[in-house]
Amino acid sequence: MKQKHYKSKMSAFVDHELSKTEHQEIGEHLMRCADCRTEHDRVKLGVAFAGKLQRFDAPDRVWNEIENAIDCQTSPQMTLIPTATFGIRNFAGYAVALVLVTVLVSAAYFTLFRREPSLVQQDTPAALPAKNESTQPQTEIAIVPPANTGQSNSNTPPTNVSTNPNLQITAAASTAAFEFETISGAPKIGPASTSNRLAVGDYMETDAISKARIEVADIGNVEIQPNSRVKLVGTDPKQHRLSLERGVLEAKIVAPPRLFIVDTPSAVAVDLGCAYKLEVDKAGNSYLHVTSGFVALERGGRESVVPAGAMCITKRGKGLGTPFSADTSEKFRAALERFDFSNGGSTSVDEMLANRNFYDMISLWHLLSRVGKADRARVYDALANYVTPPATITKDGILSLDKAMLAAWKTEVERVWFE
Amino acid sequence: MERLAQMTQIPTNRELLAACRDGDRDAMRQLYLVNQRRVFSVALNYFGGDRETAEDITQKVFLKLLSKIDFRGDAEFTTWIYRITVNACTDEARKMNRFVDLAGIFSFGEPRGSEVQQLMAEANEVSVGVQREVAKLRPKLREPIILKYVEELSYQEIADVLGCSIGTVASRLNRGHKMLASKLGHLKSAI
Repeated sequence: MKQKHYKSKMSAFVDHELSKTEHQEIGEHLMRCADCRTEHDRVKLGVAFAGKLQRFDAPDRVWNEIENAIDCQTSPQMTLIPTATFGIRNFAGYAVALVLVTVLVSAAYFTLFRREPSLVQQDTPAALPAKNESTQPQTEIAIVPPANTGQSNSNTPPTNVSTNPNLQITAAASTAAFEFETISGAPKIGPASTSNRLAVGDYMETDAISKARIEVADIGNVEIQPNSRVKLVGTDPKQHRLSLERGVLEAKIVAPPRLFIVDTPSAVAVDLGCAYKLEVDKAGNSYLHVTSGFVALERGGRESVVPAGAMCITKRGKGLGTPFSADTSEKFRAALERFDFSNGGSTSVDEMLANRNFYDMISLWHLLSRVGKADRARVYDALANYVTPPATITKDGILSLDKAMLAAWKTEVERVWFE
Repeated sequence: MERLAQMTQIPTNRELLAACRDGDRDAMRQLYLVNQRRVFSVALNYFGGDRETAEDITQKVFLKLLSKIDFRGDAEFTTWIYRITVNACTDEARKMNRFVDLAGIFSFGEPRGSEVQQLMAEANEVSVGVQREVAKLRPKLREPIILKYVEELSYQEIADVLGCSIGTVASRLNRGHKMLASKLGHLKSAI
């Protein structure tokens, strides 16, 4: 007589989700059936692993942001995260995506298997300003494969943040390039690049002794420091975009705002006309120090505008930090870091306010919309102590996060900051 | 939860929701405090420990809940909020796959490697390893595992959230458990 097995009920058995009778029946069967016992042991092991999953509280800042969004009667995350409906209605979307992928694969094939002659023919004047090639140093250039051609492995750099994925698709399909010169050592570059031109989609990688200077079209340059890896994501007259996977770059840009952008694993650095140093560590965290003008760091619908003399940290997986003065006190900075990344909440706000100084005005302005409502009035008072609110704004307006009033005060804060 | 609230005179989710409809900010905060752990924990485990995405999901769920209160009361409130959360996670995961940039297009499922490594250094290795493997399961297998072992829902409650039968829940859990056992066998001695 054929024996009845219970393999499909093993999870319910282990989780005690069966009736008493059925549980007893299976228990007795397990004593007789080796197959079901093996199945039981596997499921039980899986249950033991699943039991290791943990619950966590959301950090305080989540409620602060919800409350702020309600106060503003807007919901920034809602607008930034459009509802994805992938039903039959979006068949057209799939079709477009398929075409894009086909174009991309063709472009990748074309780029990989056609060498310099095709590259030269396709260089665009806007992205590649004329330059006397004889001035370039004669340097040995090593060729490295592009990171996106292999299957995933542990050395694959983290995918960088980008606010405009469509740009990347367009850009990678292009064959435009940036000129560069080697300052020291022998930076490695991707296969579509030449000894002095970094092609779109290619990486430049520096070791402990190499450095290079990349010309960003005709708007400035970026110095790539040792032990760095940077990718040219795209370049056209409307936007030039690099991706810093790790290491340090120093940018000097003279251009209209938002023309030059650097993606990092934890944020997007948008040039607003400036000079700055940007570092990405092994964990993908970013450290920005602005030395001239402004840089906006953006991530997940949030933005930190960092003026000259200020710094900002973003931590991968934890979000965008609040800008702080390079001259702030160690205590203020530590409290701010706890507030930004360790769920410091009101306790951190207390510490910041107790240790603030004049140079913390930039942090205080950003904190107005980041602290909870209960702490906002104290932040308002602290900031008003350093920068008199313009006549057009009211305390109530700021406390309810009136956008026009916040913008007006920000303008005044920046004026005082640069004085 | 609602039964417990009645016993201890704490306002129920339904009462809080009614007050929220009248714009009561304290009720909104209380509703958030009572339920944030559910939403955040589900999202955090769904995305393998990615706190930033979990925060975004939590914010999105509560903004939807508080700004467009369309709970009709034909299900338990907690069932409803889990359903919204799972749907938000599904949407976000689809969006991530849809808009993945070219650098990551050949490495689906692995872009968070260093983040996971960082978490492993900070937290218990087994827990993080499990979290990582659960996040790699297909959503249909991942969802019941999270609802069962993070939120401790019964098979019936999971079936209500996911809109399927208890048999389907049991079957998916069976497959999920076996996959976890197979992928995490090397950590057997640590549990």
